[in-house]
Order: sequence, then C-alpha cells, then structure tokens
Amino acid sequence: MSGRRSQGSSPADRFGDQERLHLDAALLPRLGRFTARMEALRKRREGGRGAREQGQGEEWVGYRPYRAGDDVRGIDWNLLARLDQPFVKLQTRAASERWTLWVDASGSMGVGRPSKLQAAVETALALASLGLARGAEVRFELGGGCSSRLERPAALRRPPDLGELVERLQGLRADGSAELDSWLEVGARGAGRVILVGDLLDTAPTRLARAVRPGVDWVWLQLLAQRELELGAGLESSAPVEFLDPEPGRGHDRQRAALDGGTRATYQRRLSERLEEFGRVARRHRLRYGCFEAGRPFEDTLAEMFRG
Amino acid sequence: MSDWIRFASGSGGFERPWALLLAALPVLLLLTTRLLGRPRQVKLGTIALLGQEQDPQEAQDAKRVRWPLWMLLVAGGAVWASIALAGPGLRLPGARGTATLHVMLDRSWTLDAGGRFSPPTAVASTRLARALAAAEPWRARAEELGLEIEWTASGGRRLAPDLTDEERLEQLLSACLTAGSSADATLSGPGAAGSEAATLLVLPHVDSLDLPVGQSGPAVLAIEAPQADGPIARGADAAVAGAALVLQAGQILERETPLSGHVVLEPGVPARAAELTRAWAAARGLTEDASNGPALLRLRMMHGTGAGTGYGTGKLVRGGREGFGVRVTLGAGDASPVRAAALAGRAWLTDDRGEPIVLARAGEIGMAPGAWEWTGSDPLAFPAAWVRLLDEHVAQPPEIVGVAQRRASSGLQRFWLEQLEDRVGADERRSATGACALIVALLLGAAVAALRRT
Repeated sequence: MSGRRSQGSSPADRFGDQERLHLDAALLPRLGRFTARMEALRKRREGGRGAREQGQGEEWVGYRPYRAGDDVRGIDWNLLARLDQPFVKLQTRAASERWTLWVDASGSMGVGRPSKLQAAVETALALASLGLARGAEVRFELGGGCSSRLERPAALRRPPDLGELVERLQGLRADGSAELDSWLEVGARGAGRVILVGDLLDTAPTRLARAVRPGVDWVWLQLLAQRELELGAGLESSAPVEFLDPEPGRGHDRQRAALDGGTRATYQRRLSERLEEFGRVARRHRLRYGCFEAGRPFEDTLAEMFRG
Repeated sequence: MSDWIRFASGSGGFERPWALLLAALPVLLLLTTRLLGRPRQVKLGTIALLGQEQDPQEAQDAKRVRWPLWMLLVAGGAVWASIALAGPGLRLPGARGTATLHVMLDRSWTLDAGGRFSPPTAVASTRLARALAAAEPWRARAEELGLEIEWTASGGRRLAPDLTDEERLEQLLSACLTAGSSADATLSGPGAAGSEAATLLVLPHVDSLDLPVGQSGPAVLAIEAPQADGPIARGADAAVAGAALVLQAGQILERETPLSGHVVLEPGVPARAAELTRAWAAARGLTEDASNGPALLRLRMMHGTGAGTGYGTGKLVRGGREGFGVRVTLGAGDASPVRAAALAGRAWLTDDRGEPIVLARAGEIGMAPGAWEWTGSDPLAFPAAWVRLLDEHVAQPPEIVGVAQRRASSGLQRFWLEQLEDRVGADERRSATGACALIVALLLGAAVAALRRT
C-alpha cells in the first residue's frame, strides 16, 4: 500500500474538520494500481481453485441484450440467428456483477481530518474501479449531502466513467441526513452486490439486515473518525470540551463533557457494544462487515476488508 | 480643575478623567478569560454514545456565561479603583466660587482718605478710587472670560445694597477705567479661566496678608490701596474723622459710627483745652459727664503735696512741642504736678527743667493746675497735637479694636481664611472619598486573594 492520501492541499480548515471533499489528480492512478493489484490477486486465487471457479459450469440464469463492451464470447449465436438481435448469456457471476455503491454523505460524515466522507468516497471509488474491472455495471449513489452534485445515481460501465464521476464529486460537502432506511426499500433492487459505505450511525444493524435478500452480496463498510473510535483523541484531557452533533436535531445537539477516565470508559464500552452488534448481525446474515478508521488509506482498508 | 469633565448638569466631574481608561482593563480581562475559558467545540458523529441526556434548561444554562467569583471581584475592584483614581467630585447647587470673580472691598474709612474731606469733584483721588483703578484691568479681563462679577464688602456682605452712595462708586469705577496690566497671567490661570472663583481683594494694607492659596484654590489677587496724603483732622475746631472696628457676635463688621461713652472734665481744666476736648468728644460720639462717673477719658488737674519739688506758688513754667508753647503760672500749694498727682503716665509736655506739665495714660490726662497761656505762631499746632493726644489715650472698650490691631488682624483676612478653609475642607473631603474608594479596592483584592487560597 502506498499510504498516500489525497489531502495534500485540502481547502479545509487545518485545525478543524475537513469541510469539503478534495479528490486530487493522483487519485485515479492510485485507483488503477489498486485495481490491477487486486485483480491479479483474485485471478491467482481463483486459478488455484480449479476450473469450476473459472466460470465453467456456472449456472445459466438468462439473457440480456448485448451492449457495447460486452465480451463477444458471451453472445448466444443461436438466438442471434433466430431473432437477428444479439443477446448475451447471463450466468450466476455475470448477474452478480451489477453493483450498487451507496456512500453516506450526510452531515456526520464531515467529522475528522481527513473527513469520513473523504475516506468513504475514495474507498467507494476504489470499489467501483474493482467492479468495472470485473465487468460489472456499477451504480454509485450518495446518501444525504444537500449540496450533492450527484442528483441522480451515477451509472458506471467503463473505467473512463470514473474520471467523470470524480469531477462531479469534487468539492462535495457533507451535510443533511443519510435517509438510509428509506433508500434501502428501493435503492438496492436489482443489484447483485450492494455495498454501503459510511459511518452507519443512523440505523440499527437489525434494521439494515431487513433489507438483506438471498442471492445478493451485501457489504457493510463502516468508517469512523479517530476521535470517534477513541473519544477525545488529540484533545487535552484537562480542557473542557463541548461535543456537537454534526446532524443537529437528533436529541443530542451539544454535550459538554470532561474527558476524564469515567467518561472515556463509558463511551468506549458503548461503542464496543454497538460495533459488536454490527458484527453479530452481519455474521448471522452471512454478509461482509468491517469497521475502519477513516484516516487509513483506502488500499489498506479494502485489503483488510476483503482478505481471504 | 480646568481638566474636569463636567457632567451634563454641570455639577460633577473627575479630576483625572484619564484614569477612567483603566476601567477598560477588567473588561478586557473578562473578555480574554471568556475566550480562553471557552470549551473547545468538537463535532462527534457518535455523540449519542455519550448518553448524557440534557434537558433544555440545562442546555440553556450551559450556554450562559459564568464568570468565576474571584474574577468578578477582581474586575469590580479594578473598576472601583479606576474610578477612585479618576477623582470623582460633585458640586452642590449654589456652591461658592463657580465662574465668579469676587471683588472684595475693605470698607475701612481709610480707603476714603484723600476724598472725604475733599470737594466732590475730587473723589477720584481717594485711596479706594485709585485701588479700583488698579483693579479695573483685572475685572475687565474676568468679564471677557465670562465670569460673573460679584462685589462684596469685607464681612461677607454684598457691597452694592449696602452702599450709601452707589453713584459715587459708579463714578469711582468709571473714573478708574484704565487699560493695560501685567496681571492677565493670574486671571487667565486655572482659577479664572476655569470654573473656580477668582478673587480680587482691595485692601488698605496687604503686608500682613498671608492667605493659604493652594494650586487648587481660587486665584487670589490682593491690591493695596495707595496711601492718601493729607490730614485726617483739620482746623482747631473742625470735625475729627475716625473709625473703629467693632466685634459683634464674633462677626467682623466695619463701622464708621463714633465711640460710645463719656468724657469727664474736672474743674480747673484750662478753657482752651476743655473747649477742644469737648469738640473732639462730640466728633467721636462721646458726651461730657459732670457726675464724675466712669468715663473713657478723664481730664484732671494734678494737685500735689509740693514737698521737695522746688516749686512755689506763682511759679511760672514754660514748655512746648509740635509748634506750640505754654506758660503756666502754678497755683498756690502746687508743686511738680507729676509727683503731686502720683499719675503713672508718660510726660507729654515738660518745662525747661524737664518737669512734666502734662502727663497722660490710657483714659486719663493730668494737667498742671494754674493759669495757662498758649504761645506760638501756628494756631492749629496745639489743637492738632491735643486731639492726637486725646485719640491716643482715650480708653477703648474691650470690643473696640485699634487701628494697629486692625492692621494685624484684618477682617478681610479672617473672612478669607474661613472661606478658604471651607474650600480646603471640601478638597479634603473629596480626597477622603478617593481614599475610601482605594481602600475598598484593596479590600476587594484581599478578598480575592483569600478566595484563591481557599
């Protein structure tokens, strides 16, 4: 992992939270290198597992019209001869290669430096790059973000679409509410793989799990700021601190706390319980879940997330 | 005092208004403390995990600024001390000396000398007129500066209503208007240009005047009336001018009223001396008393025992002084009048051998008995000398202050001393107020220190 972060000349306040998303020019090459490395690892791993996992014998699930860029080897020539229209055969893997990426851009994602939003977007872009490399159609959506420049979900079909998406996301500001619950009712339909990237603080894991359907690969990727993983990290313990809710109106707009041992211990215990609940629900529903610190490079985060 | 900031009412102000700037220090202190003590605000997405539910009242209280008690005490003490250093003052309405020039006139008769017995056209030559002429530039300057002019007679009374001849004063003033003086510096100083009273004293004598004039007191200028030439008595039988300073109920009042009492002329007093004495007594307001009772002045004939005197009956003795001479043919059985009369007085008139013919002491004048004849070419010499003798030896009641005493203890001086003492007292009270404020500030500081220690 290179460990580089795209925050070198962030316009955000140097001593506060990063206010706006900043995707620098080095991001796309990083995404490319990361994707190539991950694909090489996957092929090496799949190569060792035998012909069945190379695509032979995969279950046929149907057809769909041929689109530019599809592998011509997937065209059903018989159907072409009969209907005079190209169709490609859909097998299990191909069906699952329709990915939906939901990225939380609500106000709570503006916490930290780099912000959780910065980490979430970079991570989601890396996942999108992976999906495109595997031939999947990637649907990229933002949750929250009143200033979102992504009014409609972005449909990515080719790697060059990533560059265009990066341009549209540039300067994005975390605000508003994620509204994840309502999104889950409709947003995840038709996808073979649904990936949620955010702090996932607005919804209980049990409610998230209600949207899980068989045959859909779910991934919960939770990102928290350092000060959220370790209360008051970087702050003097003697100084009085007033914590503010980045999304006011949830009942805890502001709380003054002394960063003494008791407060920290209570907080850490409650956080651990919350994260353990996420893990427990994820295991029960056989979905992939991971919680990471937002300050880590996305390469490290994803390598750890999909290890094994 | 000129640097006082006057309140809108014009009744109060500060002696050192710049000290009020120090009051900004505690304000800055409080603001700095507020900024430095402000809790750092940190966004936390997991704020719900803190689990400290706050009711709205608590949240409101948390927003409210809370200053530590010691900080408030320090700030209050600093504000108080700055006000104390500024020296606040308040003047009561009607207080003396606000934008007023007091012209104090000594009403002693001596200021009229040179004019009282002169023709009316010569009033400008009196001592008062000449003194006012010297004072006029000062008065005019004060008028230019906007000060009110208040004429006051010694004793504290307004002069104008008491004047018997106000037109005369006006004439004096108009006659004395002269321009130019080197006195502007005094009147344009703190006293005259500012709010405090300036004072102009017109006195017969200023050599013994020792006013405690401080920097914060009124501007005081004393003008001594020039000495007048000419007699205060004229003619053998003319009126005799004089005055006395009468102490009444502790207040000094100038009076030109005559004395009150009796004169006793014993039998045998020479006719001329008796006549002149009666005229003098009338001018002084004294009456002749034939009942031989208490008197302010008694003229006696000294009938001695004659033992060892060397004089015999019918002896003629001669004497003289101040331009006149006498021949006295002593009566039978009389010897030296001094020894015979046992009069412990000074010899006012002696014969050729140095034996006294007239002896005098306070309230009593003794004359040699016999036949008196006056010699000399100047008919006024004896009356002038005799009246002076009578004036010098007339007994004065305890409430009468002589001219010499009056010079040493002027009524004006006492009046002004009282006035200035009042002013000094006010300053002391103001200083005391400032001192009290400083003490309170120090006490506050001590309280703060105690609080900090606990």
